[in-house]
Amino acid sequence: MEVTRKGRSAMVELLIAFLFFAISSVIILQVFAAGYSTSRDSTQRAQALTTAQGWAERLYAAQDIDALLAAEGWQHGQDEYLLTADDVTYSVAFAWEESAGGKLLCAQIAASNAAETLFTLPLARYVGEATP
Amino acid sequence: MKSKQEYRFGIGVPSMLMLFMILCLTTLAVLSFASSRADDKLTRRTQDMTLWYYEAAQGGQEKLRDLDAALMEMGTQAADAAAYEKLVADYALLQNMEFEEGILTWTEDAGGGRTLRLSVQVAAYGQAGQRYTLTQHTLTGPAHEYDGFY
Repeated sequence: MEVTRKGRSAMVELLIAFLFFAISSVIILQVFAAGYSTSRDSTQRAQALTTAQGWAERLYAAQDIDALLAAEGWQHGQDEYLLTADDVTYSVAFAWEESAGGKLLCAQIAASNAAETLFTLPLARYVGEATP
Repeated sequence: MKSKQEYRFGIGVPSMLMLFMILCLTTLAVLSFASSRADDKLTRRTQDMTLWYYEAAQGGQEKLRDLDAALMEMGTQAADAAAYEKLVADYALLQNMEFEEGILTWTEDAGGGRTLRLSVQVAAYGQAGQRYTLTQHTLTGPAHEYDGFY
């Protein structure tokens, strides 16, 4: 009789302990998952920014932007060039604006993942025409 | 004589170990989360600083376009070098630029207390070729004064 009561008490204690452990584990795992997700997003954003900056500098220096983008594997979309790398889609839209003294390149490099647009990097380069 | 052992319902050694383990795991999880949040904040700050720089550079290029068009017009309006210089000085005053010894200088706000400083050397009156030469494109940060130890 005594042994049975002891066994039951031990069982109840173990059950409570397991329950507490299970609930705590779920909460802790959620915190770990949130941290991992934030860290992954942050890494993706940083990498996308570095990549976009690299492209911005290349576009700034390019003589023929269309040729450069086509040679580097960008896909020509409706009004923009598209490139997907590491789950991030980059898009480049540019136009030359004529002015009295020359022309201004206005470009935008946007980076987006499946969920959102990460950022849009503006780029401009003015090329003046020489006085004869 | 056999002593009667009473079973007391309470926290045993396994439960204590489990509690300790959960505390450790919780601490690790919170530290990990805080670290990733700090990284994310830093990344976003870096992104903002980068975007502000490119916006400032864009503003600088737009100013160059406007300046070039204005110089072109001034070149046709002015009768001689002195008149040309006077027109450029007036333009600089109007556009909130500095004009000294043929060099036009202006700044663009690059965010975070930084400024992008641009200077162009205006070509001489009647000179063929480009109407200006970009001589400075410098990002300057806020001045820091350190009064403590490094």
